[in-house]
Amino acid sequence: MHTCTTKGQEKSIHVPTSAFAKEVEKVEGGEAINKCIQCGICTASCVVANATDLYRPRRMIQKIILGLREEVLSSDQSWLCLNCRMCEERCQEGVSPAEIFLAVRTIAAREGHVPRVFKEAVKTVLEDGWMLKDAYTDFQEDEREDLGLNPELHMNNEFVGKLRKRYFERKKAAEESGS
Amino acid sequence: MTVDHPTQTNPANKDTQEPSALVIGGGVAGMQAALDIANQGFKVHLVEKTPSIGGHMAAIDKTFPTLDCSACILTPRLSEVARHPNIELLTYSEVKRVTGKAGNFHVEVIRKPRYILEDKCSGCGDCSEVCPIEVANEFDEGLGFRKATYLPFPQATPNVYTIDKRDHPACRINCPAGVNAQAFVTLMNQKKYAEAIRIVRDAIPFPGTLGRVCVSWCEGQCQRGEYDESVSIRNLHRFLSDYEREHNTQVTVEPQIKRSERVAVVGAGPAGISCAYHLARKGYPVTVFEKRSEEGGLLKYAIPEYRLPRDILQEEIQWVAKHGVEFVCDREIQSIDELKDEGFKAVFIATGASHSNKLMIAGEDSKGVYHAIDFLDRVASHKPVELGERVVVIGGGDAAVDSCRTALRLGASEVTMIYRRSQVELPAIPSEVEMARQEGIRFMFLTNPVEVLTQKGTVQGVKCIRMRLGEPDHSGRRRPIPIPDSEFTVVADTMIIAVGQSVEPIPLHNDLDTTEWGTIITDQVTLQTSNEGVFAGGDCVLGPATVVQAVGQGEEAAISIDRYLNGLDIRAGRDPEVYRIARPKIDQSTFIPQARAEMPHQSIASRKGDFSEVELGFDEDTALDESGRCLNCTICCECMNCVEACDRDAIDHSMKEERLSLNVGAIVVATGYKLFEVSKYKRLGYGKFKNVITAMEFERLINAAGPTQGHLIRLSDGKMPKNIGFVQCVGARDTQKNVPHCSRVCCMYGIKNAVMAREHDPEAKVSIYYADIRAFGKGFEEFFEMSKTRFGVNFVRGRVGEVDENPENDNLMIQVENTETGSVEKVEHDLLVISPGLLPADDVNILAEELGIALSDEGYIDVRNELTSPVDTSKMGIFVCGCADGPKDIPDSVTAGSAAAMRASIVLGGMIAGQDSEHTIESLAPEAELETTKSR
Amino acid sequence: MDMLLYRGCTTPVRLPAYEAATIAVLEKLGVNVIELKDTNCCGAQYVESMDRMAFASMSGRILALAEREEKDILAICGACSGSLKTNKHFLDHDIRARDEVNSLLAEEGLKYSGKVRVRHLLQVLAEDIGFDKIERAVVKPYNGIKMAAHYGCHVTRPYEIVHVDDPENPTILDRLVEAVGGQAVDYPGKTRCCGGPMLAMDEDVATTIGLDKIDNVTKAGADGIVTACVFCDIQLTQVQFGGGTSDRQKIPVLPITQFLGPALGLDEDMLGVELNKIDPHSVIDCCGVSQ
Repeated sequence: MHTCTTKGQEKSIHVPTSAFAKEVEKVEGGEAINKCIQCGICTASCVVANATDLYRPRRMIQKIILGLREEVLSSDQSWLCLNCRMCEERCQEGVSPAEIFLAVRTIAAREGHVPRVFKEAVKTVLEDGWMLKDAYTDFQEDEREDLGLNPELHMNNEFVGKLRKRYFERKKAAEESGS
Repeated sequence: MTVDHPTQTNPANKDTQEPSALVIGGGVAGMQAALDIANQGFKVHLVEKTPSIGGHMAAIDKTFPTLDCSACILTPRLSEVARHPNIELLTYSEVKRVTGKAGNFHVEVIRKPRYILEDKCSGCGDCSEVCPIEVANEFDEGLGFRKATYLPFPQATPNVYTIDKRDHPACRINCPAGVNAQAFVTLMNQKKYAEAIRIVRDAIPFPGTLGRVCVSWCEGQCQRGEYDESVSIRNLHRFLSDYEREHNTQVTVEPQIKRSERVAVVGAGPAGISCAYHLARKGYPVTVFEKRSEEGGLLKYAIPEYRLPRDILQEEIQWVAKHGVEFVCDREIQSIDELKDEGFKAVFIATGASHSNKLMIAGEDSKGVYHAIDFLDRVASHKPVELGERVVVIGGGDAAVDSCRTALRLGASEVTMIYRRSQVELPAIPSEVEMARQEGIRFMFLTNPVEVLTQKGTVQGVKCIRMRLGEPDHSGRRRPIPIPDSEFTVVADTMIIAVGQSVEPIPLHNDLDTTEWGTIITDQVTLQTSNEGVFAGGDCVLGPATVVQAVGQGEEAAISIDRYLNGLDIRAGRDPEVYRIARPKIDQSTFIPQARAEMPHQSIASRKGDFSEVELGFDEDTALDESGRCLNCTICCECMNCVEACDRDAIDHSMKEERLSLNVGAIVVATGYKLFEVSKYKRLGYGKFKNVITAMEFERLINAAGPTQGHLIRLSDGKMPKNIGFVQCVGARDTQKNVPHCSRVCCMYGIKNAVMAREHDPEAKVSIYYADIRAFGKGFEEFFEMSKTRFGVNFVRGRVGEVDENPENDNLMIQVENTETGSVEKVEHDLLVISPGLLPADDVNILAEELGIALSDEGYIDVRNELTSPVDTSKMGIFVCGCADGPKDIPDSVTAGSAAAMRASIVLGGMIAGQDSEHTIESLAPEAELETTKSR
Repeated sequence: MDMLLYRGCTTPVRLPAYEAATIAVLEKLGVNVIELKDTNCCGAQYVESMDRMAFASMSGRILALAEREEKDILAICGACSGSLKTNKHFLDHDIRARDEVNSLLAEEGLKYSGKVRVRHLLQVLAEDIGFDKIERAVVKPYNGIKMAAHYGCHVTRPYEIVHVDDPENPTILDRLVEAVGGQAVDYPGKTRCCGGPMLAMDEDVATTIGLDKIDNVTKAGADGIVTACVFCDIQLTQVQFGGGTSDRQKIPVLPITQFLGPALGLDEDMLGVELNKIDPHSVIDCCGVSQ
């Protein structure tokens, strides 16, 4: 990428590169990225794209193909996918934008680009073993008992500790070091 | 049954045979191949599966990129093929077996019966005018109609009609009298009552009588019954009789006696009357002898008047008499010789089985115990009958039910029917049982009488025993077994025993062989007895059976007698194999279940003590409605209107499938394509939303010869669309639906259709939704440009995601992303046209296996090498052209046709030159490929 | 037949009625529901987005727990069902991934070898029990009340992995509705997402998507909605409250088993009916009433 100065303004011109697409291709779920012909059926079928102008899955894939790595990884776009898989169902070329975005998320996460909501949720899961420990109060316990259900939920929180060590410590280190 | 024609075109000696080729498929490619081969002087057999050559091109309106009229280009070709002296056109035919090799293929072709003689039909269409059957027209993609006898399109070649007739309808083959139910029901649905009743009377003389008493086996098998309820066939032909009486439209009958041989019929029951009727129609003078004082048999002397009013019966018997039949009553024939002495040349014995069976229990002879037939006879003869208050009727058949309901009308206050099996096994007509129940008759099942209890000689009650059902007996019904120590008494003062009838031994029967039960032994098909020239039928042969069986046997005997008197073989061709139609295809999504029409009855109150008819008959509206429920399973119903209308005697309903054997040197496969079934894309709403149509339906709608005479209208409301959308890449370029390949022609035909839409209405907005526009051929790019600039078609780059319907106006809402602007849109269209991809034709895989040629992964015929031998299949001597090996447009198909013709001609030329076939074949394959062929 | 119930995180806390109704209905139909203990979150959505192997491990552990009990898993949440099936597919086909997960599981004496199946509630009802059996068990049929079926996304998609129903034209919920005397109502956008997963990132968009579905269902004349996933149920209920919805007629949302229960003769208390935020009595009172 090089800058070009015109009348005192700095503009960055992006030179297309297939490196990012190749990188995504290697991640589980991203294999079909290069099959995309940019026909737009995914976006046409997407509930989110139909509900807001802020989300355009086909555009995102276009950016991956063109190699706009930084922009893609630091944007919220790949985190806005609901993972409803309608795009995957409809794509005639065998591409799953949903899976590609999950793959992009894992790359983004490794480099410290994670929306706060996700960060917090993951932190909770890795500590408690599940999502709603704090939300499980006496009220809920009583409701369960009234229904004849076991109020003890028996959730395991040890296994997630092992996962944190194996998969997330180095992530955390990466985050803290800001890379 | 298939009729074999031995090797028709070439003499048996294959060494000196004239080289000829086989072209499979009469579309534009096949025709091109046929013409090119034929123009070199070789003989060509062109086999086409549908009734006409022309293929899909005949249905297309305009071609791309020139916008030429497709029919204008095609029809001269059709004419050329038809008139070519070297081309034998075998339409409505299919290739079934192929053996042999290049230079010497042995081919079996099946010619489906058109039921119309090709060399006599002039294509005038008179038959079609009078045909009452209308079905959806395949040529118009189901948007239009055709008759059972039809020409697929006006320029069909050969220009002969074809009758679409499929096997035999269940109703007709299950009727013992062979009444053509499908035909009369169809005709009456068109208010052609006179024609309809004529069809009924072709088989039986009793439309009114049987319309009231028949057990209607036809209804039990009616195909409609598989979906909701069977058509009420019996009540419909009763309606015809009622209508005729009401409107006095009966045709006058004059006797047509032309023969001198006199025939005697003994017994004026339904069998005898039927035989006399049919013989009189054949021109024979018939005398019917009846021992009672009036004609009718059990129809007159047993069936109660509330089921069969006597005036109806009388009128129908009189109508038979009007044909020249003489009825002689009060005369009992004692022997066959008696008749022979009087000069009769043939005899039909129809003396029936009216002897009531006995129960053989104690007290059966007491006063107050009647046997059913005697009881009903007395009532029918208006003789006095002593009946008590509490009547029990023993039995479960129609005679038992008749006895019950008659007893009630004679004043009994309590009538109980006692049957030894359960309700499930009850043999009586269900509607009769139901009415009996409504009238208050009680039923006691699994009960059998053991003794009649009397006091001072009069009946006081019946001792009965409870039964249980064991294993089935010889009739298939579960055997009733008495439960020990379960006897009980039923109080009664009258008992009527209705446990069946048998044949009364009479002197006349002594002249014939009979069975141990007294029934006369006859040949099952011809009804010939042990005495030559003497035939028998009805209950006296079958044992107690039904009226319709008797009537049916009467007709069969008439046919036998006619043949006998003409010195012909009475058995020949009498027992043809009939195939009942397999379940007809019904579009379940549009099928609306509708219950059978209900027969209106007299109210229960008004029936008391009254013998007037209980079932009142359908009114005209009900009859029309009910007859409309017929599914027309076999399409053509053999009403024979076409035969009457045809001046050239070109129609032959007895035609059979023919098998031809051909010897050819080379084969060209040109089986064409079929379109992808768009209904598989649920998200596009085809089939659900009326205004979503396919490109082929669009072609028919804009075609001046189409179902709307070229007016492009919406199917939901007939309005002209103002905003049309075209959806591309459906059923092509789709890995999910196993059609990953591009279909080559859809972009261009889609654009062509869009241009045509703008031509039809320059005010209409037309948009095409696409991923790519593939305009690769000569003139294609220019056409694409022109469609945008000159015709103003709007191109949106974005594949359509889904389609929803606006229920208020049946408009379609599509969801698409315009990938050029990134905007996600919901666009409303009032008509949406889907452009399907091309697939291999149906059953190509079966043909390929028969030919021994390979298919590609997608199912098309595989070519040997796309670059160097693009029209050769994997087998020597067999070539391919057109869309059979992959989608292509018309110019490419024609080119391939000529190429295949050339390749085939090399083989044929080699045969003429006297070289042995092997050598010629090798010259077809370039050096480089010899390896591959040897290793096969 | 025995099945191990995997509840996930949300159902036991936010929609216990669904859990109770499901157990009650399945037991009534002859399925023995056993609690799978010592489980963890399946990893859907959050861990899933962070690390593929961590995700596979979380689901993999649940699968291994079931394998130890030698019984199939019953998943009643769409997201859990999707996660478990997707990871099962992944682990069944990728030896290295499997080995990596098993190396951690071995520490607890667990192993994943792909022996148990994952069944979503709809599969159990439609295939293992069958519509005939359900129809025969009906004692108080509904009177033709119109119900719109919402399948959710992970229950039916992607088909090659979940194998539950035709993703473009699913029918199991509709057939269940009809089996107990209701009338299944079709509506545009039937297979669209409820918007639930978007709540984390953009609540407005999530609500827009959810309300779009409610609008379509209402316009089609439905009296209620049946669901097969806890998230969908909560989302479709929740969007009917909140800003700008006070003038709307609220349409009851019921998990499918809560709808089936009354028709099978089960008591309301067993089905947790009072816990529904939108009172479902307008629907379940139509049970056993003649048409």
